[in-house]
Amino acid sequence: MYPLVITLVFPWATTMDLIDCGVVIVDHDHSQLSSRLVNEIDALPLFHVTSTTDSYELGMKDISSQEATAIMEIPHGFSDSVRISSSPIYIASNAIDGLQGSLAMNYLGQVTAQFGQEINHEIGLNATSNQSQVSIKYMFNDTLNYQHFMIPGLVVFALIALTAMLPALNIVSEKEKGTIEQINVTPIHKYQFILAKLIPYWLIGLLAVTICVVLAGAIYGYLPKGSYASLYLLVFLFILTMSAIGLMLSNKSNTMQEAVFVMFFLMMIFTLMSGLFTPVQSMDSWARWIADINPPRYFVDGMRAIYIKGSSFAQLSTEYLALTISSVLFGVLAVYTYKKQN
Amino acid sequence: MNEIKAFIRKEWFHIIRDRRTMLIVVLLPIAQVLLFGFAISVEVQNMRIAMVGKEFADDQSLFEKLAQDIDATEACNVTAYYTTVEEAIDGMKKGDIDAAIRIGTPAIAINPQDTWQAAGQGWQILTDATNPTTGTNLGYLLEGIISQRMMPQTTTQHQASISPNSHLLFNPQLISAYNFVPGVMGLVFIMIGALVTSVSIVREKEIGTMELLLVSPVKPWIIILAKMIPYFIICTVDFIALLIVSKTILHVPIAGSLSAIIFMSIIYILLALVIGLVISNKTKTQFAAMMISILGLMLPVMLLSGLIFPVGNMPTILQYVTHLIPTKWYIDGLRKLMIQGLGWAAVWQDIAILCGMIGVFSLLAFKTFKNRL
Repeated sequence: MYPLVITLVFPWATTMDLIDCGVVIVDHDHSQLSSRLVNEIDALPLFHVTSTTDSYELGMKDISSQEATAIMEIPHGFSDSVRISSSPIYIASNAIDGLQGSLAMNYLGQVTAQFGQEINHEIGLNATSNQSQVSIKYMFNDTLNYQHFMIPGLVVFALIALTAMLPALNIVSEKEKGTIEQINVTPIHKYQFILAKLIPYWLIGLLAVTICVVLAGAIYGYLPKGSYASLYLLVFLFILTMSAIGLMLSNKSNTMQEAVFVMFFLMMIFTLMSGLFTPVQSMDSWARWIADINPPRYFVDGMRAIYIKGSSFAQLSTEYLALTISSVLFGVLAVYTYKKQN
Repeated sequence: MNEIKAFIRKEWFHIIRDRRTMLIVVLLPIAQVLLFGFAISVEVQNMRIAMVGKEFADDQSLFEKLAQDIDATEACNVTAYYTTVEEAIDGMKKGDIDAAIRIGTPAIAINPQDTWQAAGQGWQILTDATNPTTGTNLGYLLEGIISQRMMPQTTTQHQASISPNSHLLFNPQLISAYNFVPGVMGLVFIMIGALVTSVSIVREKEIGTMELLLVSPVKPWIIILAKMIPYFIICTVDFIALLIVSKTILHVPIAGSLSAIIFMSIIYILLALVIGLVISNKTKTQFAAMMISILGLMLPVMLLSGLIFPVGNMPTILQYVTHLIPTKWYIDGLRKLMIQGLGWAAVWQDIAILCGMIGVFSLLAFKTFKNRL
């Protein structure tokens, strides 16, 4: 059920692009030219004009109520001054969400500047058409599909929940009920006990990944560009790390309540500091340092590289190395902190 | 009245006795808001750029100057020089660089079908568009830098007849904490509130002490109320601490009505507690209660509340789903109050919806509450 939601619902929710942004127009000019500019903006797929007023205060109401993201003020006498010299147009956007605000502002700026050039051409001003000699090529994800970016990463949620949280809570609940004492007095070796506890969760984790991969392929037609072997190796290393962390947590906590709070805190760090939603490079330098020792970060990076870039095993050696080290480190710590006696 | 007091004392002792949990519940939210207030940001920063094909450039000093221009920007650093574009693509696949700039010269044309290379001129920017937002933004940024360096003489004589005069409102420095602090607060309260109450009630069920309480002459609703009040106090303490931390350390403005912020937060905390109550009524084991609170609440709240991803970008059906997420309304209202600096009038709708949700969940809690186990 969980992988289903992850691949079917959440990719649609997670997009940062500017889509259908509302613009309020404050038109002091009321000319043919100003309404042409307004129509041109409204016709663009990115923008829709929410209302046209002639007072800035009225326009700001739409911004406050969040119906519109941006406001554009066309000054009095715009259509006349535009033909003689440069005419200013005032654009402001709501930047509480900084990315959306600046995107809206920049796009609107581009649109108006282009409109200006159009008029330049029409009235025969000598507009130098210096088509820039610069071209941009988007590598790997040339359709700029945000879902392709999110799907390989989102599986990290399922894996943390299934392979770190579930076994941790399972063991602590045995502790709390007291049934773990019964196992402790049996001659079973502690490795056997730990492995027997963890292996089912490993299998569940691998199954969840497989379901995600199959669903992404079946529904979005989205298959990894890299090899499945490297994908599953990455998944397996990550599962080992996560279950070792879960085990360590269960060794350290006595009540489920305690375990679950620590797990909640870890889960927030695991996901928010992994670059899953916001790029690691945008973080402050000390936060990037935390991200660097955060195992899911390497998993998310690696999954995306395999899916989108088709990176090979050798190219992802950093990711594999980091996950191997973390799984060994936490594995040793987990066995070390595990005691048969309470 | 005495009954309630005695019960609250009992619950309070339960909480105080469990030092570690207590510590976690109080300190965790502060740590989270601090951590994520600083860490979460979506600006294009620390981009690693590779310059490709310096050896083949006609004008090597221009190439050098361009590299310096790029290095001089805050967002980008030139970290590598490659000879061929293949090396650059390999670097991207390894995750070493985010974009490459190459100059087209036949000498590095590797793929004859590449039309851009066939033209043999100009600059090409290759950005790693694995993350489409970063990829496009970085592309535009680099394009701007190159065009400025390449045609200083043409830009002066070029006369655009409209000059856009652009401003960013409310958050001109584009500080991400402004956007994320209200969001993280919304996430933390609902998680702590719902998780703590549901677990503490189910815990008594599981241990079996709930039966003892139910056969006592105390009315069941008093038991429940007494369970909720201490956690309500803890959440309120958390809220005050968070407000102080975000104002003093993160410098998030509290521009609007403080009374509205407090009122809305109290409503929201109450709602979280009631949701926790419904979960505890519906589950028999702590394990199940935790799973529902963490998995059922955390992911939807994180992704569908506008905390990270703007609700306006989602497909219409999902937008309707987001209306059901209480956090969405809370974050929405909190952003209006804290950052846009609006007052009560702007958030009455958010508050009304939160109150309505309290009503619905209370009814649900009342209906599902069983006197017997």
